[in-house]
Amino acid sequence: MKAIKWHIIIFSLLFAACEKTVELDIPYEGDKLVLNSFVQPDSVIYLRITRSQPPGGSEFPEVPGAVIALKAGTETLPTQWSIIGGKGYFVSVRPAKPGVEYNISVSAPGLDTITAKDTLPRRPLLSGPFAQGGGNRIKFVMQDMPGVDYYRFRLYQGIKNANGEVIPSERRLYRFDPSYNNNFTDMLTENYLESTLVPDDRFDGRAITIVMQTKDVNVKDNILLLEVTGLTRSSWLYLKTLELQTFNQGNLLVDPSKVYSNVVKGYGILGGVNTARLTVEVK
Amino acid sequence: MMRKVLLGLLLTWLPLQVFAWNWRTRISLSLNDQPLSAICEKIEKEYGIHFSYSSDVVKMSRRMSIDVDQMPLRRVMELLFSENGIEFRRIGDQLVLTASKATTRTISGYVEDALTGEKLIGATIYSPALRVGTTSNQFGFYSLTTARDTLSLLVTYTGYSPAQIPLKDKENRQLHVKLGPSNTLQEVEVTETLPQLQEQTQMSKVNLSVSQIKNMPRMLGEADVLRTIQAMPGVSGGMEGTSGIHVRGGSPDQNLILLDNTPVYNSTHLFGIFSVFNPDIIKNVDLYKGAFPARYGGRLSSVVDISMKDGDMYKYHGEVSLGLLASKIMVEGPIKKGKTSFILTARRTYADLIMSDFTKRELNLGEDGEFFAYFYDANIKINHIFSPKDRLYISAYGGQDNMSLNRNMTFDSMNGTAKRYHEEMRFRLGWGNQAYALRWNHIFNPRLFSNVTLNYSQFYFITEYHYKHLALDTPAIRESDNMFGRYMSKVQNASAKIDFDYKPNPKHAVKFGGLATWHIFQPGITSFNNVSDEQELTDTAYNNQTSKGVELSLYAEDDWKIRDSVHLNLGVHTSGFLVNNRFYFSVQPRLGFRYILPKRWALKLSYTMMTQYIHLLTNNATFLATDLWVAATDKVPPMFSTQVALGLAKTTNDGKYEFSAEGYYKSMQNVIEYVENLDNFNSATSSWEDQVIQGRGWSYGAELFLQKKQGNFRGWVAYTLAWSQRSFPNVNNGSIFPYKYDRRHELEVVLTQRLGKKWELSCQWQYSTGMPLTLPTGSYEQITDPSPHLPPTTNDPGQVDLVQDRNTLRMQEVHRLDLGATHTKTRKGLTYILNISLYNVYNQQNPFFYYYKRNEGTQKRELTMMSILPILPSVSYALRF
Repeated sequence: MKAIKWHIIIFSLLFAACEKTVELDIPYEGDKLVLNSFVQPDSVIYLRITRSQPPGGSEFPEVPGAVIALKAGTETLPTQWSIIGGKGYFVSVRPAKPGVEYNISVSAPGLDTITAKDTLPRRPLLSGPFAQGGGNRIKFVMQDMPGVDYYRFRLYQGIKNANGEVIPSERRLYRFDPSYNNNFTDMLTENYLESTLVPDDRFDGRAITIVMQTKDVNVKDNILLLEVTGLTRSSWLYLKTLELQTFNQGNLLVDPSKVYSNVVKGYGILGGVNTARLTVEVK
Repeated sequence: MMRKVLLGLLLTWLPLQVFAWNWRTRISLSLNDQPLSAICEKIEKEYGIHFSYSSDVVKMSRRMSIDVDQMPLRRVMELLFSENGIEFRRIGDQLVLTASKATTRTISGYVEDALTGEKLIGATIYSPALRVGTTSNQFGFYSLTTARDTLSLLVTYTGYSPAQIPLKDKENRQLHVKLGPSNTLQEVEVTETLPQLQEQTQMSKVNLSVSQIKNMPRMLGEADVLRTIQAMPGVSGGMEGTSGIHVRGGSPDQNLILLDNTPVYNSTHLFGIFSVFNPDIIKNVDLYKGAFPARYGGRLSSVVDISMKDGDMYKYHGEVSLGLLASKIMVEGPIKKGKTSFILTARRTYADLIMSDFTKRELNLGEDGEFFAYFYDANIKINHIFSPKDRLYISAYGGQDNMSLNRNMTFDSMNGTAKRYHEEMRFRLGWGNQAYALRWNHIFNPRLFSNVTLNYSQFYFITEYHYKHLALDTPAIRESDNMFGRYMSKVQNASAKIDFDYKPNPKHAVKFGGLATWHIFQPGITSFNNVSDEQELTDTAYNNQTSKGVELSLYAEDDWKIRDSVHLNLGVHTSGFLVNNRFYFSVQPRLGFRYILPKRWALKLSYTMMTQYIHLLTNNATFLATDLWVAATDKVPPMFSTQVALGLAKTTNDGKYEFSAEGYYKSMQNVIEYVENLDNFNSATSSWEDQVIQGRGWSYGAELFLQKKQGNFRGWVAYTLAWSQRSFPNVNNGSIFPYKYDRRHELEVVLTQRLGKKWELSCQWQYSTGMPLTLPTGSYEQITDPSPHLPPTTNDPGQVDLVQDRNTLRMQEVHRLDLGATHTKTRKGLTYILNISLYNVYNQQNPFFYYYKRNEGTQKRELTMMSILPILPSVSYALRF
């Protein structure tokens, strides 16, 4: 037992990280406009316009006075300022529709005018949902179409609204099959995920059966809502590089990584997404 | 006037008429495989030239072939007799043949430890009267061509009593020299000595002895060869606490690390903290930072040539040691006395064994669960003397870092909810090297030595899981999963090599040879099998590809003594690489020059070119076992470098002090970096070329080195002033930026002091400028959802850190003091060695990593510097018998 203690002390000392706050003179190029929006077909477009901040910032001032010029193809989409959940958004007055390119220009006094564009991806095809009360898995089939596709998987607890539609109420955690996302250590650790990004290069053009292992045991008659979102390449690059940067935060062994942006003269993303949802009734 | 001309003609014409032949007489002759006597008879018959010789003195039985047409007689005589030790001269109408009197002779043989038979590398064999000498090569072999009347040779080696060897006769002879260890506190270690620096044309080279390695202060009780190399000028360590080496601005993949002539791909254990080389097996270490001899090739920046011990030829010895981190054992001895010896070493970390119960409990592995996390390595070498001219060496190395975790357990609940299920899980993560070598030394003659090497080396990384989940409340709940996944990468090579050492005369030392290497690359193969409820969902492998390449090289070099004060080393290394139906070829000149200045200072100059046909894919801040080796392609061509160095060097006459100062400039082409915005390398799929970019690198600087090599007080001071830069088209807008391990100033002070017969104290202090640093230069809000009405994430939504140019900032400077003390006591044939070390004595908080961390008090993110490795005591204890 003494030997164990001695080893624990030594290895604690070795890997004991001592941290202290330091100040370095880091050059900052000044505030820039930040545009964040994922465009979902058949939904109004929510545009979040903020200012960038010096390194270490965690609060980002909104720019309610920004001038927005949003176009769906050649058609101009007017927007109006709305406060939702305490945050300000420019919201389009009409929903987005597929098959056109979305272009945006945002300007504000004292800041560079920014531009961005993207299209909308195709919607994933889901079927065959299965979940069992007392179990901790859900199973479904996804039909991939030939060509390059990028997907994001998420799982929600579903509830029925007044219209009898199932809507997401809270996020559920799960583990994904490592043969699609390469996360070997998910099986080793008690690491459950909120979302998974997977390209289709391992199942292009095929129908695959996917099994998710949920963190919590499924309760009979509950409703789960599986969400699979098709992503454009811009949306994929943004979300993937954001995931990488978040995952590597505080990782001693890697350099800080860049997050993709398709906003010219500013930062952020204007990305097309297309979400499909599958209601899974726990039997 | 006319009378004088006539007289001259008469005098000239008369002998011609009388003797019928002269030296310009034209000879035509074609004879095949005839004795010299028969050839002479033929000439005599056809041209009337009479030969006179005593067959007792002149050996005319040697058979020769000759085919000449209208060749002057003198040239024919030279052709026949010069190489056969026969002199010829004209007396009257006869050609008189006599045995030539050689003015030189060649002494050759091995230098070895008198007690163990261990061959000594770099021993000096010297004729004090004539001031000529040489050194023993990597196998302890030497060849010295000196004046025929040399009466004695002096053979010296640090740690050994010098030997004066009388030479009784005046012939060529083989002379094996045995040196007895001097009676010092030091363990009988094979340690180095080299001829004085001014006697070597070689520059940019550092030799390390095992005693230097073992006497340095230790981290966690482990002596480490790469950590000692880090303390040399021109060599930077990587991240704090790691034993990676960056030589003159090069990256670790540009180091050719050889263990008994066999390349070792990954030289570190435990994520770079310790090197894979057990000091107990090491005999000699040579580090080349530049001025690469022609026999080396394949990497850009350095060669670390490590020789393993041969094993005691006469007695059995062993050593058992226990450190905080690892236990070690070494055994050596004769298999057949004086003919065959062996040496075996092994070490393993054991923290996982001690903490097994603790980890099983903490990780919830169940009664039958297992947890291992360790590294081990083992070496074995067998050395056999077939004859005075033939020796065989077989050496093998195997080492691995391994983490495995097995769970086999039945659960009654999941996450607080009642649920009966059985889970079986096996996970493994490991990597390791294997290296094998078979070498045969042969002495053709006193001037020609050869070594043939066949070797094989591999490095692999593997991670795999087996996962089984079975619900037990069946048939109500039907759940069964059986999953398997494996990721593996491997690089292998097998080589055949032949090297010759040829010393035709005292002015030339020639080395030449050739190498053929077969490379096999498997950069990341992933395979999966997933059966769920008896339905097979996945059974496939990705990137299951193997590429093969052949590398061929030839080299030759001549160390040419033009005058006593002027030496030139001329060499060339040519190589070709055939891979995937592409062929790359390079000619790499290697030039060295030495000029002796007044007061025996040596001015040295070198120019070398190097080519590297393989790349290492990495996108980490440091170099890890997960990095992937790949062959050059058309899109990512081979790297090559050019280096020039200029220096001054001198060893004092008493041999106590060495001083060298060198300046260097190195340029590198086709170095690679990862592209922005892409995922970590999971495997080198066919698109890996799109994930890297090629650029250029430059490094230049100056190095000063002062070393005291003898006496109770020893040590060195090394200072390096360096710049190392890179440029890539898409990084930092194409502008030149500092390499990530660029350090402007580095100072290393290493001192050891013997106290009496039992104690040896050591201290090491190092200072360096902070490393370049990349940090976010701004931040902005992030987004993950198309609508604000969706349920929010359960995680901190965070923000995006704006990362722009690389390496534009610098960490704070680094300095640290380490101390060590070794106590050695011998009693009844047993030697007890205790080492106590204190790492980071004044607990300096050196920077390891910078990042933005949220302060829970202020709710703001603050730039935070993380330090590891505080003051760290360690103890190791060894017993030698």
